[in-house]
Amino acid sequence: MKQLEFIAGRLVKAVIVLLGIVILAFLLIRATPGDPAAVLAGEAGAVDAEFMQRVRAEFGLDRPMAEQLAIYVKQIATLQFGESYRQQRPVLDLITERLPATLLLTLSAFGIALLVGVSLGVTAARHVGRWPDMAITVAALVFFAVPLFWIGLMAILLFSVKLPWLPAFGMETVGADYDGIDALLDTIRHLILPATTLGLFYIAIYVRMTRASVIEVMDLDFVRTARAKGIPEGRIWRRHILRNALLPIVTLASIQAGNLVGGAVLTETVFAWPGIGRLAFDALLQRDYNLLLAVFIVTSALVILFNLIADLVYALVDPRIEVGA
Amino acid sequence: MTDTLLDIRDLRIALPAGADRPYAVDGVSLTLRRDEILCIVGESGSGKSLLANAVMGLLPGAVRIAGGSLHFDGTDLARLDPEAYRKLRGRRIAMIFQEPMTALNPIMTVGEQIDELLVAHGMTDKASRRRRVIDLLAATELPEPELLYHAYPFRLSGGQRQRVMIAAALALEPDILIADEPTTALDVTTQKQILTLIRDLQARRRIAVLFITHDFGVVAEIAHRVAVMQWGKVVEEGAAADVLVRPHHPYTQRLVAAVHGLSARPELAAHAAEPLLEVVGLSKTFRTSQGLFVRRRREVHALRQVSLTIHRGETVGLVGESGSGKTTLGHAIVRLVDTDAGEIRFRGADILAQGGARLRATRARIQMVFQDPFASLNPRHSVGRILTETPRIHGVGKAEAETRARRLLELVGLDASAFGRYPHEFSGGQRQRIGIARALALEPELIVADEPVSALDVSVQGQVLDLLADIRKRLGLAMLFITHDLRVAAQVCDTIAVMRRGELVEIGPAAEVFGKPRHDYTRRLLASVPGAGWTDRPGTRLTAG
Repeated sequence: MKQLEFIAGRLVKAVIVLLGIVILAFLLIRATPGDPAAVLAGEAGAVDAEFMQRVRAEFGLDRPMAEQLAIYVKQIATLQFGESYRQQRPVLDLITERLPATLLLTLSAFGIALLVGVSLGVTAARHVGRWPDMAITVAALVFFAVPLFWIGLMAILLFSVKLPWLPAFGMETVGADYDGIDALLDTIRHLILPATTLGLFYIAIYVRMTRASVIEVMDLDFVRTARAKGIPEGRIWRRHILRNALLPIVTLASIQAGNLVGGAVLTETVFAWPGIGRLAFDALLQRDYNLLLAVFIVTSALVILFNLIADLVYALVDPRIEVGA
Repeated sequence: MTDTLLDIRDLRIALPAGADRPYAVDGVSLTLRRDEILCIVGESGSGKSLLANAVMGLLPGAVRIAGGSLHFDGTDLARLDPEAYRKLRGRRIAMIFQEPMTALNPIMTVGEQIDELLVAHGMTDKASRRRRVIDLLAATELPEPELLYHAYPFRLSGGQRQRVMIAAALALEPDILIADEPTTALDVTTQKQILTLIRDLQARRRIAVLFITHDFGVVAEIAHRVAVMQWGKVVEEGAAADVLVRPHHPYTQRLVAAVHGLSARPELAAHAAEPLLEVVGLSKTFRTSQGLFVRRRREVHALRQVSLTIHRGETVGLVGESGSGKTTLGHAIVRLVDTDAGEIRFRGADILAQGGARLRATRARIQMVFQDPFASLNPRHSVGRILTETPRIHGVGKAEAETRARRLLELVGLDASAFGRYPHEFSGGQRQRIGIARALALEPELIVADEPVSALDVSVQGQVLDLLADIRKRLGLAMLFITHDLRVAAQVCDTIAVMRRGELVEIGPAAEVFGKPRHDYTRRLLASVPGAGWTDRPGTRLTAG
């Protein structure tokens, strides 16, 4: 009951937040120079005022800004995201086509980051001040500091060009028409480079967070109590140190799970991954307002959703927190 | 079977390079016999806790045993491999700690935390483990052990958590229980109960207890034998009855003398009849509310209709246990918290109605001294800046403020060279002197001192209390002295006000409140003061001065 009330409350807040995002995104996009009419006209090679006027009238871009916003909000309220100016298809179709690819990429990257980052962080903490700690900390710092796209390009150079082990771009081998298990393996081969690249940046964050958290918990009183009780070291690490040290990681991870979708734009562009990030990138270049706004709204909704899940998970792993209390 | 369970010979524990001395424990020899309570008494830095940790084989990484021997029941502990040592811990030597609030894992249930100890020492049958845990919780007089099994520590009070710790420690009927300041963090009435529990369990199960404390009052309650430690060495050892009555070593004499009786000082009680501060019907309720659709309220009545008068030059002691509202009252008087109802009149004017410049002027007349001398001074400000900042804000010129600051340093017994130094260069007692000087910088008429000595070692406490008494006499200050320690209150206060759960249950001249307490709760507080029977029975102790 309490949980349901809590979730209902959060959903109400989510709607308010989304409305704010819609309005803000709408105004931001309109504030950028250029509009779809100009882009279309430019591509058609017919930059005359009459053509542009016609396009603007067709999309309703000639009306006052406030009116456009009101119309748009009303449409969104009834879940009508409209059509892409450019591709002449419903925006929602375009997004649902691309979303699975993005989710596959980001969740793989996220999984890698979490697994590798936390393991390395714990290893560093267990050897604090000695060489494994130094090596891990320095490596994490390097990957944190180097730009994502550069790592991506270098990875392509090394593993696709110099050593032809992995495909450099796309999600599947064009024209191969694999079936079943072969198709799956093909996708995995395509996934390795972009997912690892995207993951590397986040690994660094998890290494540092986990290391700091474990070092802090290691010295807490209840760990000393456990030792005084004669609990074996293995169990002290599993039940007392790690379980407590990972609580802040849960928070961080669930907040980042939402942001990963946005963070994938660069990676998807570098690796020509057919995901929502690429879609947004192209939509921005083409001033495809409806599509761009819809991508904003969907990714924002995902962030909000992940945050809600985070709160519920947190209440599950930490008995001191009661959902709704 | 020998009678000696623990034999410590010439033990040396080396501190890492760069510490204030090479050995934390320097040539200590002690024995602990079956069926006795040995108290190790010392102040912070005496090495008493490291000694206990050495017995447990749980010394911190940088600290190591550099000489001597530790024998437990004939076994040389230094030769034990880690696994054998682990099996000893919890099973034959158990330990409880000072801070019950943090000594339990916050995300494991109470039952699990005792259960895992039974598992670790080879009890495999789940049902019998569960029965044992529930029996233990009942034996330590915890309510509803069946329900408690599944409770998480945050639901328990400090006293209850310490009982859980004791239940876990006694789970496998160890030969030795090491208790490192187990009641220091608890309220007096809770402390009394825990001490009684440890004493009863010790007598019933005939275990040996190594009890570490800084408080001779606690020693008087519980010890059979006493060893006094100073700077890593045992300076005096003997039967509790002897050491308490006839301490030989000057250091022991100082510690014993620091435990004052509960009778009020007769030379106090002389103050003007003119009221300086009047608190009338003050109430404050803290509310937390959550929930989006239905607002659920949790209310804590920190102050309920509290009325109190402080006269010029009078020191009023506000005593009570944690959560009684005494700190809230102190904060309300300096306007650090807003109140719900009532009046606070300072020199006749209601300060709750004041704002802006008038409030600032009032604030200069009422100053506060805080409990924690380590946290209450800004570590990045020099002592000079700490002492001159507020006078400068209140319009005193730079040169004048500095002259005053140097005079204040002299007044609180610090060298004038302290002016350019930073708080971390001073000891706890010195920092509290700086805190007092800071409070005096604006020449206030009233000082609100919130537990000003409770973070200090007993011998330092005495010095700071003497300083406060001296300053008050010289400057004619009035003081609201908030403390949980009735002995401290007896030393400095003219009037005692007793608070309980937001209510002022008793107020009167110190001699009356201590001599003929009217309220039940006051009587209970007085009876709980550790060692009350020892300090306040005439002729049982030498009154060292």
